[in-house]
Amino acid sequence: MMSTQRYNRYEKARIIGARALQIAHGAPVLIETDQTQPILIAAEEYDAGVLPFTVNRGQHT
Amino acid sequence: MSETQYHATDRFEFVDEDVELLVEDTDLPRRLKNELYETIDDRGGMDLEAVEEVASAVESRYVNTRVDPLDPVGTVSAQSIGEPGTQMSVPYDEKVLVRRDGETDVTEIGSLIDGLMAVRESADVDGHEVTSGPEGMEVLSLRADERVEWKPLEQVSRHEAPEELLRFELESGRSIRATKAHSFVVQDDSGDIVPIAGDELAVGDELPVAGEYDARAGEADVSTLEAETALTDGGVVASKASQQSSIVGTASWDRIESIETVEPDHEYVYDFSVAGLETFTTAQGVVTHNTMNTFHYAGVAEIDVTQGLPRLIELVDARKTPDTPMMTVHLEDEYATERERAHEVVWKIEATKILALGDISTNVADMLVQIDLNPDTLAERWPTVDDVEAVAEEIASTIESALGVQTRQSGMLIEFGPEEPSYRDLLQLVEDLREIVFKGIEDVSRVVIRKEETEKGEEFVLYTEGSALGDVLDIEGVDASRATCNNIHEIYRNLGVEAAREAIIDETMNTLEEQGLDDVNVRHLMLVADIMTNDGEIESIGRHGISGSKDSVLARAAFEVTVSHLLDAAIHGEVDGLDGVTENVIVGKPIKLGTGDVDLRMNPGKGGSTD
Repeated sequence: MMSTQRYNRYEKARIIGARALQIAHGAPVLIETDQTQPILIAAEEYDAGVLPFTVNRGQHT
Repeated sequence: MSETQYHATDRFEFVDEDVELLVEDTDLPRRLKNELYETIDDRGGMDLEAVEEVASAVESRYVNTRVDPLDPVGTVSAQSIGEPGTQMSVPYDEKVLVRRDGETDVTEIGSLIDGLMAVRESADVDGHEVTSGPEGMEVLSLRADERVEWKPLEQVSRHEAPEELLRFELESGRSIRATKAHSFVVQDDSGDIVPIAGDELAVGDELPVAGEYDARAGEADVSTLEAETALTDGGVVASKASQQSSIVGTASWDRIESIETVEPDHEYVYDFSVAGLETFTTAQGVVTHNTMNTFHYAGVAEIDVTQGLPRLIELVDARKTPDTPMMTVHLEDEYATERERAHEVVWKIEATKILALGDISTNVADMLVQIDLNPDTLAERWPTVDDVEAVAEEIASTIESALGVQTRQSGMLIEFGPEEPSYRDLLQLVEDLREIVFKGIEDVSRVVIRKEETEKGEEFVLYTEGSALGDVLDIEGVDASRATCNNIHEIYRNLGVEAAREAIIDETMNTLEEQGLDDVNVRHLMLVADIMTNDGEIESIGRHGISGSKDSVLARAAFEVTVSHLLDAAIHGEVDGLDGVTENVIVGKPIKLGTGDVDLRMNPGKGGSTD
């Protein structure tokens, strides 16, 4: 389901940014990875499509 | 004065022979050597070692800064930069070096040019009579690489002498007189060679000179130069005949001793125009620089236009009338190509008042204002009317309707007076008479006509002081599609917002370009123009315009007069939705743009494994 939704670059940046913050604060990582930096882990999670986020586009497009 | 004849020991109490030997041995010029002696004397004598130290210090300073005679000194980059002056010439009896068919001659510039003017057809360029130079005649000119070279004389010109001339006396005894705006070339502090106007030269500046100066003869000996060059060039001692090579040597530099103003004693001042770097050399060897390129600045004064920051502020503030209103009027068809037709349009635009048409006198005895019209002026300003009398009648009737008086007109004479004999009324009539516009547009006080290269080829373009675009567009011969003015509101009234938007872009861009800011992207200016014209009418940017009419209190307060905006908002109970950029920056929230505009929700428990 998640992989079918297309995000624009602002949404992608925001999602990875928010997730990296969570990881940095000690949230459990959702995938197997060799990465150590929160931002890179978040990027891999995003690519794997496992992140529990939705973007509410509500009023506009 | 030869060096060996100079006896410092006799003149200075504390200078002995050893010191003299030491000082005389340096490469210093006489002036500096004397100063050195004076210094030694002032200190009541110095020991030999100290003298040697001082002398060598002075010498190394001097050698570093001086330019040896006949040494090439950098690149002469003296290109024509717009000289604002109106006259730049030398007076009648200034002698110049010319060469004709290999014969070097010294002649008075005035008699040479007057002679040419008498036999040749001369063109009138903005008050300067210009004619081509005599064939085969050459003058000594400074080349770009600092060499002095014979260059063909392309054009000569003369114009009426100004009230004052400048006279420069150089260290070597040479002198030159020139008009204040006549330009010379000098070296600036960094050693670059730059053109400079005559009245900016100061004592101590150095001018380039050529040849060796013989004070007794009062002329520079260029022949030595030629011989020297021939030697170095070919290793053969050249005879006078071998003047094939046009390069005769390099320029050297000569300090200015004194500058004074003198009155010209001839009617005209004169100028040479030389191919390439436009310099020529006077008989005394002083190289002067001239630029025919700047002639359009001469004679007819330019229209004064507000430029730079004041103009930019004026545009952005959307002032109702600019400080210096002006129009640029292009012409159609034959009006654009024929000077006489173009002038017809000029007279239709430029306001003609009575002072331009004739002489006014007041006859107090008979209580009459008398106008003596000048028939030539009438014929010139009403080119389409053949009968000058008819013009005079028209003028008389214009006066009648404008002043409400009865006029008597016969031939070129018009007289009228107040109904009741009253000295005050009479004077009032004269005052009012001066204000009447007989022809042309009242707001346009002056029109300058100029031939220019445009996309339609060479054509006449009119520049006006004062603007009235609406009136000009209706005049026959005016190309309405290319007529513009610098008053944005006038363009808006006559041509609409889109034209006004375009005008704002053009005017701001031109203003920036004139200041050398031509690499500003137009899109910035387009954005400004778009905002200013967005409502369908012109709005200024400042406090009273765009910035002052924003919806958000915080955005307005951030611009100007913060306190009163906040106070007013508080009094009226205004609410700020924090929608704009400024408001969010003020309150420290992310702005609603890009990543800041993404509404992200987390679904707890939903994530975890990929399904």
